[in-house]
Amino acid sequence: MSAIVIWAEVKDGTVRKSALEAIHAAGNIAGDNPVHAVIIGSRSAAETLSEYPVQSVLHVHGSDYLVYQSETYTDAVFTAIDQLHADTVIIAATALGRDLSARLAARMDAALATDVTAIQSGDHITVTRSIYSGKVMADVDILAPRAVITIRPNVFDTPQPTGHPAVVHDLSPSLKTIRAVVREALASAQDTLDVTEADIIVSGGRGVGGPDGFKVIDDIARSIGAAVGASRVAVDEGWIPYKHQVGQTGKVVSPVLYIACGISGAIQHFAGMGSARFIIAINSDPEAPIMKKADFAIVGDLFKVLPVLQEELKKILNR
Amino acid sequence: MDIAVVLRQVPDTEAVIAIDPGNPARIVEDDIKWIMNPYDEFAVEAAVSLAEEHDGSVTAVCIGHADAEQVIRTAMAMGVEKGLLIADENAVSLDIISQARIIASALSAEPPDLILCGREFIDTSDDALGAALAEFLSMPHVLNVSALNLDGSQVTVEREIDGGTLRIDMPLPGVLSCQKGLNEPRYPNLMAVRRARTKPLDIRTLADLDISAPALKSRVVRLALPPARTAGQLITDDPETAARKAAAWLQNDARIL
Ligand SMILES: Cc1cc2nc3c(=O)[nH]c(=O)nc-3n(C[C@H](O)[C@H](O)[C@H](O)COP(=O)(O)OP(=O)(O)OC[C@H]3O[C@@H](n4cnc5c(N)ncnc54)[C@H](O)[C@@H]3O)c2cc1C
Ligand SMILES: Nc1ncnc2c1ncn2[C@@H]1O[C@H](COP(=O)(O)O)[C@@H](O)[C@H]1O
Repeated sequence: MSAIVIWAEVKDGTVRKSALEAIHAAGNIAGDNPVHAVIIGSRSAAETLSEYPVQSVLHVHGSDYLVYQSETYTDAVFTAIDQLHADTVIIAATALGRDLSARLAARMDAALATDVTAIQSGDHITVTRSIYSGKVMADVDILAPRAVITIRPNVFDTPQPTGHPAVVHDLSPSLKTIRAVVREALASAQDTLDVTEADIIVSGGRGVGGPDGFKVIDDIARSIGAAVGASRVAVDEGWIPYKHQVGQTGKVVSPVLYIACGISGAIQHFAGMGSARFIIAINSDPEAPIMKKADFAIVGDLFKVLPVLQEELKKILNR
Repeated sequence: MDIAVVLRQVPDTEAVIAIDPGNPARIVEDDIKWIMNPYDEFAVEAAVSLAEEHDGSVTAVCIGHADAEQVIRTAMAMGVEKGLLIADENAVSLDIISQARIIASALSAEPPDLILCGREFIDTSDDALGAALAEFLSMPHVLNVSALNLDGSQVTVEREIDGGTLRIDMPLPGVLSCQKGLNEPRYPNLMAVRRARTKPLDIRTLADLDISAPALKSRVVRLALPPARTAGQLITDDPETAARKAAAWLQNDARIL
């Protein structure tokens, strides 16, 4: 290994928490090698980043970089890698991080390991990642001389600020014509927390009965700062958008707490949330498969249990 | 208009995956039913309906074992015209970047106007194929497309990101990865399935294609099943008591409040 570069994603003007987690992950394997950060965004975001344990921050800014564009961002991060003679790149596996990492890995002719949940270095870098959409964990040795690794958000710790800000250098990559042009960025109707980054997820399935039922789910989720998840049935019925779907053909999540409401726990759903630290299930059928896998299984009508649970949790949180 | 759609054969989503006791880096494949990667269905549907509307033709490309012919035939039953199956043991187990390089090489002689693939392969959980293909072919790409409109020599697509949706114009040639919401994949009727059997399918090794096998970039050394979950407390009280017990459990046992 020579040097590690992390790409720090900026969202709404601030450095994402998952970018700090990437710095922590880099620290796990860096040994004596330097860790540098590349950031595309405001000066103040770059300065915030410099407070964390990195050797330097390469800062790219300008009107050409206001929205994420795969090609310009790949060029920018590749320029930094080239300049720093880095051979290892660590990026958080967010939507944009996944996009960037794939194109970058092809350009570097690197090994790509996505959505990893553990990382170690020995004779090789070894990563752990889930395959078969969460049904199996695989340890993978990186054999190629260069590697791009994306880390699952919310799994690695965030590092402490060092107290000695790292140096921030400006980087001005050469710009080519942008081909795929972002015309419009449409914000989600309501700014809901993404399931992949949430500590707590409250999820609804067929038992929720319809779009109105999701108001009950949404209510409790809001009051405890949780994200809203859903089974495929709820999504296919059109009760809630696809981005909320958890499971083998939705999102694979690993929150601290998963509250499954009116969800039977089919193999495809379980694959996506089986690694939650704690599972609570609320289901009227004591024989539903989820009830044998939940740490706390409540037999009952979710419409009767959730409102009381919400009040109880509020009492605790307000105390 | 020439469209290529990239496919993979994967274990059925119902499959219970077990680890080979003789080789901890492999799964037991004996009882597995194989299907077309679920996201690839959206790519096939998009390709076929674009070809129907804009007088194009669709080729399916797949790296797989010989029996992956089945997924190409399925795609053909959905309307794909011809297929290329790269049936080569040296290619099947390669990492996603190397596979992208091989597919890019195979397509580079006559690059299609549009290349479509699924958002992610549900076996290796890689979602990098589209972007890597685009990079190798010097094309633009958009991933996770949930709406698509072709207008002359460009497409307008929607792509979901954390917290919103981007509307993107992409000139052709280019690469798109497709996800749920884009369309409703068709069910082929019996006639279409029968016709699929006679459509042209090229089965090639890497040597046939004059592609040298790339060096191994990574190797799975060990598989493990996630810790089995066992039943916890079963609460059958009235809703008020049950909710109160749950809150207390969260606070005192799980300690997450
Ligand atoms: C290719 C493929 C991919 C798939 N991918 C996914 C995926 O990514 N994610 C996913 O979730 N599924 C996926 N599935 C679907 C999966 O097989 C199941 O059909 C689905 O998960 C079931 O959803 P559900 O639990 O909401 O519905 P059901 O299985 O119908 O369960 C509903 C549950 O609600 C309970 N209930 C009803 N009313 C109430 C009430 N008032 N209070 C409390 N409980 C109540 C019932 O007892 C029942 O247990 C996939 C399937 C296939 C074939
Ligand atoms: N999953 C499939 N979908 C559509 N066509 C298929 C599929 N599998 C096989 N085929 C085609 O149908 C033939 C076998 O059909 P059958 O004789 O009905 O078993 C194969 O040789 C293929 O041409």
